[in-house]
Amino acid sequence: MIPLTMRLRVRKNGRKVVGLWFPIILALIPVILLLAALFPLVLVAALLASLGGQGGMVLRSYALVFTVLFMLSGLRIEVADPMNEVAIILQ
Amino acid sequence: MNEERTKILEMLKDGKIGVADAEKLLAALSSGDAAGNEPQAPGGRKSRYLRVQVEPGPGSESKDKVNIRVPMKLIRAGLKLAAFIPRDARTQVSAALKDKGIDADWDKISPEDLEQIVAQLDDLTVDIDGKDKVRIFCE
Repeated sequence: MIPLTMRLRVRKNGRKVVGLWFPIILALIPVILLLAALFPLVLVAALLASLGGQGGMVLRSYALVFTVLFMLSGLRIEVADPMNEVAIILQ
Repeated sequence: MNEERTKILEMLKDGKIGVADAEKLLAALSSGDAAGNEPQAPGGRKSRYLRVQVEPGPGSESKDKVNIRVPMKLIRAGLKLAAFIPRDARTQVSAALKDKGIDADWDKISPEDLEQIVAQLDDLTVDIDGKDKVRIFCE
């Protein structure tokens, strides 16, 4: 599922440097629309690449970009020591 | 599975369960046998996330805590994307990994092998209790 929100937390030397929560879906929707708008160009590129037998690869990689974007929900990366912390949480 | 069937029949014989209950249990066993080939996380569901947790132990010099949760579908998609990495770049990656002590010929690992590895991750559990406590599991 496409992630709706993102939390970003950065703490350095015990002090909070970044504490961000924002609806990442507002940023992802334009990205997805842009990718969709590029589909005709991708088709042309795939047709040209098919001359060298790589047309399928172009289309598959285009589809995989969408797949990766839609599967980001649930990703959580947190690394912390007593004084510093970086946390990225996509939900 | 035979042991479980025997237990159910013994419970029926001892009167601990009725005939209807025994029948339900035996039917559940049969359906469990049929689905036994599919990798499932504890609790009967297919795993959705790969978790990696590292916590420093009492004798550890490093105090870093790591908590990573990656959706399994993202891992699959990422591996498929990795298949499109140009050969030159893969050679450089292999060389860099070799410098770190990981000597593996990634060219010999096919996308099917990677898919099998990911499919088996459902059963993966790693618990290391050394200086640092490391847990890798699927949920």
